[in-house]
Amino acid sequence: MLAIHHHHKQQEHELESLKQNYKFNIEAVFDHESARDCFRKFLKDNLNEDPFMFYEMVEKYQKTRLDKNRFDMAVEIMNTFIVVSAKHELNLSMTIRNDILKNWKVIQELNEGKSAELMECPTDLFQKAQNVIFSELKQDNFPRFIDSEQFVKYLKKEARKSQFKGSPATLLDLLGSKKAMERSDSGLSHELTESGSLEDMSVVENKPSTIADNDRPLVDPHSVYISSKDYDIVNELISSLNDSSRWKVVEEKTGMKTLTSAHNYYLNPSDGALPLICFTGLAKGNHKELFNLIFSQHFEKKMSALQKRKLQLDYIKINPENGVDYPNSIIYSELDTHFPISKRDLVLAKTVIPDLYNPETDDFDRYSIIQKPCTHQDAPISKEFIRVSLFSAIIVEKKTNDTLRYYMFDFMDLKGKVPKKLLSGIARFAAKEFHKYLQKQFINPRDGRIKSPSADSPTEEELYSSEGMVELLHDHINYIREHILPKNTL
Amino acid sequence: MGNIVVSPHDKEGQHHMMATPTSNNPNGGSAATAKNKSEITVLLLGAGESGKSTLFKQVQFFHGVGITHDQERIELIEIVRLNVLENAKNLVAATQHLNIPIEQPENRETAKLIINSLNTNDLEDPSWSKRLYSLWKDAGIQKAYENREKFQLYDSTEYLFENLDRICSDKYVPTVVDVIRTRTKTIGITDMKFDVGDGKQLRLVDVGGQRNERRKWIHFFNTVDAVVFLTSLSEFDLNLYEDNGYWRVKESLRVFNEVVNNALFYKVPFVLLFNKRDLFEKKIATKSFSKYFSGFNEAEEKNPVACIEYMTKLFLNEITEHPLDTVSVKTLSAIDHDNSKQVFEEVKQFIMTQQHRE
Repeated sequence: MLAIHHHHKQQEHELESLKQNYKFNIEAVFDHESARDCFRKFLKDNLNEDPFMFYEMVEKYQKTRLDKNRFDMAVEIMNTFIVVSAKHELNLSMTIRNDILKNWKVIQELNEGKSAELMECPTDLFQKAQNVIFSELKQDNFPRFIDSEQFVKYLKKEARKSQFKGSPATLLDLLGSKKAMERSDSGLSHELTESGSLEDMSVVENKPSTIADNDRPLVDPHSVYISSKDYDIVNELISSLNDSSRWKVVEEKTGMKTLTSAHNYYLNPSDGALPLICFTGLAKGNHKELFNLIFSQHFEKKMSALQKRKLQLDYIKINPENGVDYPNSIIYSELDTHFPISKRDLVLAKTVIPDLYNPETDDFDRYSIIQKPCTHQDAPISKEFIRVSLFSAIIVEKKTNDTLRYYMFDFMDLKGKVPKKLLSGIARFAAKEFHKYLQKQFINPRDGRIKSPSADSPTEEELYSSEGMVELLHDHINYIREHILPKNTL
Repeated sequence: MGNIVVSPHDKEGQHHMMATPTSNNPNGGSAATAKNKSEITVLLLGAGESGKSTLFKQVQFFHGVGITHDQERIELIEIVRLNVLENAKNLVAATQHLNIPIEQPENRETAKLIINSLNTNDLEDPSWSKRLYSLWKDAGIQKAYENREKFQLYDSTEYLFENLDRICSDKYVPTVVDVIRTRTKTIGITDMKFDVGDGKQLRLVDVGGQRNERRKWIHFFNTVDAVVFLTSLSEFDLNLYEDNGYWRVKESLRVFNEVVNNALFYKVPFVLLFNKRDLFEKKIATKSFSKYFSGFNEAEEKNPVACIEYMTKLFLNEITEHPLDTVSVKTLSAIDHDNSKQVFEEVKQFIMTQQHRE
């Protein structure tokens, strides 16, 4: 552990030269209270505090739960920021202003004469304006702020605080990331054993990597929700598993296999790429039984142990005309993880896809549970948390009348100051553990058969549904039965 | 680019045609007796999209304060790409609004993605360069583009689409021209300082131009030593960003009137810059100028000099208080580096000379 105390001057000098190597991030500044205050002061000095005030007020508005209270706030926001010649009138295009005015008129009419309990006022009334305002601050004012003396002064002042003493970079890491000056090498150089200790890791420099030519996307970048393209990618992964140029076997036992991808995958090109983990296996029994077990409360409980807090933010109905190929449940959760990956949270879109309809059984021969990173306006924002990216796909399919195959793909980017090597180590370790757990829990070691539902196993009604997954599956199956199967049988 | 200066009283159009003072307002001009000040504050004013920030960026460049290094311009990749996306979105939205169908099915597909989910990271992909270019060349989009006076669109649209190859490459570093051509709506104020000799510094202040932004201008009116007012020559067929039913020329004239006749500026040197001369010349070749100005002789409408002369008269007629001998009128093409440099140098000389005269 380094504990060298620098003199002020030396540290300030170091800070200024370090600053040159950083790309600062307006989202991070907004999430960091004192930096946010400094930005606000800068805007005020440059006669542009209005957008900031608006932004904060809309934040408050969106968090307000009671419609009546939101309505009252909306009146204030309209009169302070939106109407022409308002005291803090925003620089809005006429299109956006008129949209808000039009919607607001409808809302006012709807609520006229209504008692407080019956009032309705949508949380997204100012969403578009807020996004535009934020984007304009980002493009116009934020770069000037970063170059300003005010920001340098702020950094110097903050760096004197005890938690940053001797390591000004930790301060900069909070507000931005190091500029990617070179492309990171990809491939299997991330090879690392679980025995690698944290001391070893701490000297590994965490270069934010940019993606390389042979890196591959893991998700459909054009859809926030899980789309048919996401499902296509999963199917392609499954069909590639026998290709030894694409997958390396990490561990193989009878009926189970853990693999890691030769190529790196990415969710978002700017976050860099990591290897993907897959485990797959064969078991005896009916695939639906395994699916139900995975879907069960017991399993969910095990997963919930890794999470401090979990809530369903939204449920997106299936609507292929509008590009929503599957029903999606949007989940927020706080992870219960420890140093050096503490304080992580995530927002996921989750779905279940029934596929390969079998008229003989009137059921589907394959079920896939896919989750991928998502964004949502109602997701809690906390300056303490780092939002991580998680992708997983669990596929259970019928092989013969009495056998099934399962596949699980896992991808985890824990963000922040974690060496990439450590990350992939953790991911592989977690995958192996998980695989063992799964085998132990669901498959009888003697005959490789799915454990028969024991007396205490849940009925469907008891299936864990805090994520809305049971309802989601019903919706999805109903939709397929109503809209897709009739067409295919013609 | 020629630098034509016209006076309403003198059609010869000499280089610095100063009109004679028409009034000598005793109430005016308590501010800005800046003779011995070491800092000269010059305000860039004008309605939205008149080119204030473009000129500001040019001045930054030729004083070496701007983004002269590749490394610094790399920071602007996202902003350039955002401009591409916003242009594309505006065009697609316009096809819907104007009821012009996008012709090719694959372009319709691209349009859908642009409206719903495309972000700047996606643009780092040569295949997007092809798709966006194909969309740009779609007959529907081109028809909307021809009707661009009916909606809000940046001046740089064509430039950006014609340079997609570079912009969508993973090796992309914005050029100086890219940075100049990129539109970022200025909100609030920003300034820069540079030495102008004699131990003096010039502080150039850039501001936002939309109606709500103008309330902020007054903060500087007390300390200002010179005003450079920009108006866009090419706005004669356009309406306002903040009010689609209001003619931009009318707005510019109104704002000019308010500023130039402000008592605080009575003794302040005042420069009127007719900007976007390049765009203007292209525009009058295909569009009727006289359609918008009943007092203008239709036979002259393809002659840029005559048109500019007419505009100059319109603006100078607004001056009721300010002494005309401290008003200078010039044309400018702010996206042209050399022209900006030359015009700004003249503006600087004019301001300095006026300062000495006091």
